[in-house]
Amino acid sequence: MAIRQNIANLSAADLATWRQVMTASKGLLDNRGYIHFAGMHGLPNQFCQHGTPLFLPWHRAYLYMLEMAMRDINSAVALPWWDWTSDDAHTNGLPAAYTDASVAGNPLLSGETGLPQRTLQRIQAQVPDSLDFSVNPPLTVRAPGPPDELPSAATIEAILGAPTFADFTSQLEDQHNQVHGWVGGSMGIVPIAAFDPIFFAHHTMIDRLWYLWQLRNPNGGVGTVPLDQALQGTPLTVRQVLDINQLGYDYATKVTTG
Amino acid sequence: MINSPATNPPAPGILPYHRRAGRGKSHALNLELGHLQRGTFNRADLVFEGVDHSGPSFEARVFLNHPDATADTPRTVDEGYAGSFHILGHGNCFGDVGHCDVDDRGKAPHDLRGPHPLTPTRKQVTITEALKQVLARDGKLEQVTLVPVAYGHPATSEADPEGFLKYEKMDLFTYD
Repeated sequence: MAIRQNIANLSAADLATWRQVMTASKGLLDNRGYIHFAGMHGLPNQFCQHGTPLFLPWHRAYLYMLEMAMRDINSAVALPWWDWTSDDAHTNGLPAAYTDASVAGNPLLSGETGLPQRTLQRIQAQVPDSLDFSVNPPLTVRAPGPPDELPSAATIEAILGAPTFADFTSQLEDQHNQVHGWVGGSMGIVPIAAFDPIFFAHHTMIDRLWYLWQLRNPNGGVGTVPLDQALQGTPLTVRQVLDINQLGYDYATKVTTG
Repeated sequence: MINSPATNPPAPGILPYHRRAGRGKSHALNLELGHLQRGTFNRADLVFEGVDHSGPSFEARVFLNHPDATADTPRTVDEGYAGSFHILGHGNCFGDVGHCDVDDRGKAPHDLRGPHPLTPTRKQVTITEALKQVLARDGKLEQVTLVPVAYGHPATSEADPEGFLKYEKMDLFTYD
């Protein structure tokens, strides 16, 4: 069972492992590598689901596919989450692990897109501040807002109290959108958002919140979504992503004593 | 505040924080207290149908009875602020001709594909407490004003003379 942890709670060794796996994944330019999976979300494949009840199921399957590929590289790894409701996030903004330029070759700072030149030229012409075009290949960028504009713990607690899946997913997706915009830069537009490694820490947080809502609402279901609906780009159906333990992972909890 | 600095330390790939106000929309209403059962509702939602998400990402701030609200208006109940919705935009179209034209895919009986990714979406803002306070203060709800604030991408919004906040209609639902 893979145990997903808060990025802020990773041990030095676990963070080093996460970086090593991310570096290795980025180095794979075939369908086992980071660029392949990032390209499933937006360009060039555009499989992602937004604004529909498939938002949470599809992204759960998507994270699973990347995590499994990363576990093929190192079976000890699990996707970490970024708790943007935490005191640290509301003071410092982005997690230090993803901004620490003192780490040589920190793979969490940014990412390449692997997109063809013609597509990159169109992006540069229309949204020039969405990638760093001063380097070749272009890299993802961020333009974070004031930390206190990130969603608050109180807001998320209220959303976790939503009585129906439809209400919950609608409200949670809105907060998700807000964080994408808050990070800005590449994260601020769907077609290239997933090329920034912070995307997956953000979405692991979203998936964790769905899991927490499921714990509170064990019969909450997924509203009107057909359970045998395929989640495009993956071999999974909605039914297969309802139980995270059946997908081989769980979320760590932190218990403080004393 | 618009364009206040970020507190993150500079790092590679970090651009200046940027926000830009877009063109707002104001709905003139005349819902008196009686129409809303004298504030006895338990929940009130503003629902926006057909919201466009093909352009930049943005926040749409909802103000009640404050038609002059701007992006610098404090988001407080006293100012009529009722909540926001957030759009994760596609940034524009980077595909070939026709790629971003919303079509009828998924609608025909044997078309099992999902809808076009740019199919306009639905957004909802729960405004219960703000509406109750406005009704207590003003006696009626006269205006709903939306103030869109984009996250960066000045080229996209400046190239769009109609503004990036586009939707088909707004409905107010109250629940007892």
